[in-house]
Amino acid sequence: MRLFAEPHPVRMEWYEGEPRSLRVADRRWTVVEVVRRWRVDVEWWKGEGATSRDHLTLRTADGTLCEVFGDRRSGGWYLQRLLD
Amino acid sequence: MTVAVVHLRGEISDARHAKVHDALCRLLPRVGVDGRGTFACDLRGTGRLLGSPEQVGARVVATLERARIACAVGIAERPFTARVAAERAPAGDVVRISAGQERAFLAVLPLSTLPLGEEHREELVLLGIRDVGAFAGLERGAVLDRFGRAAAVAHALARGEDASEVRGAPPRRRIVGKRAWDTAITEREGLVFALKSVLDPIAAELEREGLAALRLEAKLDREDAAPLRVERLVLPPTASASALLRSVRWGLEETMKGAPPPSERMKGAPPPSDPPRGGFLSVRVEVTEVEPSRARQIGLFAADGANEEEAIAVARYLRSRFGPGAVLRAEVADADARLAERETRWEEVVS
Repeated sequence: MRLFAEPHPVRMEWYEGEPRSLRVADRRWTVVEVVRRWRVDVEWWKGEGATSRDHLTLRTADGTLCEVFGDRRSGGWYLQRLLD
Repeated sequence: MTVAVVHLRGEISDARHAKVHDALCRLLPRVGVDGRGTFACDLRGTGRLLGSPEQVGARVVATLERARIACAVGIAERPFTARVAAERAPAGDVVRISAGQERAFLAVLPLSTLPLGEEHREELVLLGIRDVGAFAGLERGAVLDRFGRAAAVAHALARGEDASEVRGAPPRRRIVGKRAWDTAITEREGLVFALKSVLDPIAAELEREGLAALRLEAKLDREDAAPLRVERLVLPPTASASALLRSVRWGLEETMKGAPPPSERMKGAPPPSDPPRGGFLSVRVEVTEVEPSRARQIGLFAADGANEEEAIAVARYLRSRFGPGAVLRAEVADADARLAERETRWEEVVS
């Protein structure tokens, strides 16, 4: 597993509500499978300081398995870790 | 990405394949082998230097025609589309499938164009899906669920969504060093010195080409005995003259002792030769297999003893070069944390 000390920003492309591909820097991976999806809401009572994220484990066309999450407040998506 | 795939026509012998590979590597910066007689060339960033992809394709066709080798060139944004275009183009043609047209180009082609198993193809035909376009029109999740991952990859190809890269493969290189002596060498130290004079230029050539030797063969002619042959598998692959010398020297010592083949010896290699009589007259060393040179992995968890001191020394060097935060160690802070940044704590390896 490769865990990043700082999550990498990624650009997600969607098709009918499903992830179609993700782009990190100038590299694009086609998504062939959403392996797992879950939502994390932490410290919701803090209001602005709360964390709310949608997590996805994705399998790409080249066989890479990766975990990405979307920050529900900012709308940004990030690559959290790669799994071998 | 713009990719040009060169597809050879006619009989493709090993020699012809190697010759074309070598010629393309001289013309273009990144050339990968995509099967026998098929080469994928990554043309990203070459516009100013080499001209448009069509000009590059025409130059490739002309160069190979001069060597009486017929080929066709397909150009597209994706390697798969470029390969299909090249395979279907008449010899001597350069076909470009423009961006945005790839899916339409592939759509009318039969299913056999895709890397699908016979069983899956037959099942698709039974379902009334006979061409790439119909297959591409299927819902992605349904393809994966019903046919599995390999078919999902073929589906991504059909939709022009494959993100595969061209993997550069340098042509097979023959790196040879030879030396002959007027007076036979009888002393071990003299022989080691002589071998060094042969291996130094080989190491320099490997270094220049960014390669590392994986296998090498040495042949030493003797005064009054059959030549001595040594084959070595060099692990880890290296371009270091001293490491190559050490490998050949160990191989020679094993062979001269008549000892059983060491674990490093290549499978199927001939048994050790007779111990030498008389001196050595000449030596020829050939690097028979190379691979791209790369940084060495520090064997922290290696069976021969984790070299923590070396790892710390490297970490110190990297930190001095790139500053704080360059070399970090991850530790589990809270295995049950719901956020990854709370699950792990990162600490400097050296301060």
